[in-house]
Amino acid sequence: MQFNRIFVSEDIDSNNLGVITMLQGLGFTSIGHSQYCDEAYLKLKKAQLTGESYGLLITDLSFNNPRDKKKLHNGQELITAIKTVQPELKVIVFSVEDDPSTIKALFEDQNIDGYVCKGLNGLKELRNSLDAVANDLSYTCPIATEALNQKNTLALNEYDHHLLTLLAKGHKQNEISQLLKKDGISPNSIRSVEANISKLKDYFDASNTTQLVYLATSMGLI
Amino acid sequence: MAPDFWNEVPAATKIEVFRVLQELLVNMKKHSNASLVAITCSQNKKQFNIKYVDNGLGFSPKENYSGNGLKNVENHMKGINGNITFDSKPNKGVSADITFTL
Repeated sequence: MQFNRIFVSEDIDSNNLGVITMLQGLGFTSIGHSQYCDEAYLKLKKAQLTGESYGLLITDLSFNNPRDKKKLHNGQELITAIKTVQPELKVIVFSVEDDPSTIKALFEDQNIDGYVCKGLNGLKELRNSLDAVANDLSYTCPIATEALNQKNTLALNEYDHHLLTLLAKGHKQNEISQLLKKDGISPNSIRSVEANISKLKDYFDASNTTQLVYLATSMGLI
Repeated sequence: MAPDFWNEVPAATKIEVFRVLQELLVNMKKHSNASLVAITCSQNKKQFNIKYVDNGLGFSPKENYSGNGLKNVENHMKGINGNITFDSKPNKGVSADITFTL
């Protein structure tokens, strides 16, 4: 698959121009662009309505501009908004952000297709990502890959926290599964509960559930 | 930590908290030999609480409290109407309570 139409959403004009020039150099001719999230959203939506929808969105995350009455404040909000009207749109994020949890959330919650960090080889990496995403693969540039592979930090989410609390109360895995079902929390199958607990054991380097609960308690996590 | 934990916190405060946590983590890496470190954030209305706990060597607050690092940390917290308290005994790890009010 090759992209007919590409949209570039980037607030800084020199970066905006740089990306567009690179795309033109590769032979793309239909390139839309905007420096504001709201405008980008409207243009993407309009293109869809007139049957000329864009196949790929390249967007920044942070938008610093003085426009009042903004509805969409950053790239994340733009992606969420546009994915609800055009779920099949491919998205590559091109940003300076190298925080693992931000990148991870984009792939897991927003279903983006590529992540490229701006940097020394930003444009080159962006070009690589175009090829990968065009072939329905996902792409992360070396900086982002390294950030994602950083294994020694973990943000406990609500779900992990809930699991630990239930374990500390003395529930067995099958009881936890039933309790989660009752509260409408998913995933709640015995298998996934087991998998999540063993993931937590890995993170805490605990050899069994007892040690896991002890560690979590002594660190003040539950 | 709730996803919107930092939403209400002004940028200047966030920077100070970042510096404080950075100092604690540098100390952890340099001296503590800890294998686990946990940072938990909780909020009660306008009262924010960030708790740092590690399982390293710990220190004796009376003896090893002379350096600039921890003094700076306290000054950082004073600057944003906050407070930091340490609790540690040799070989019992370190816990630090960072609190500030908006």
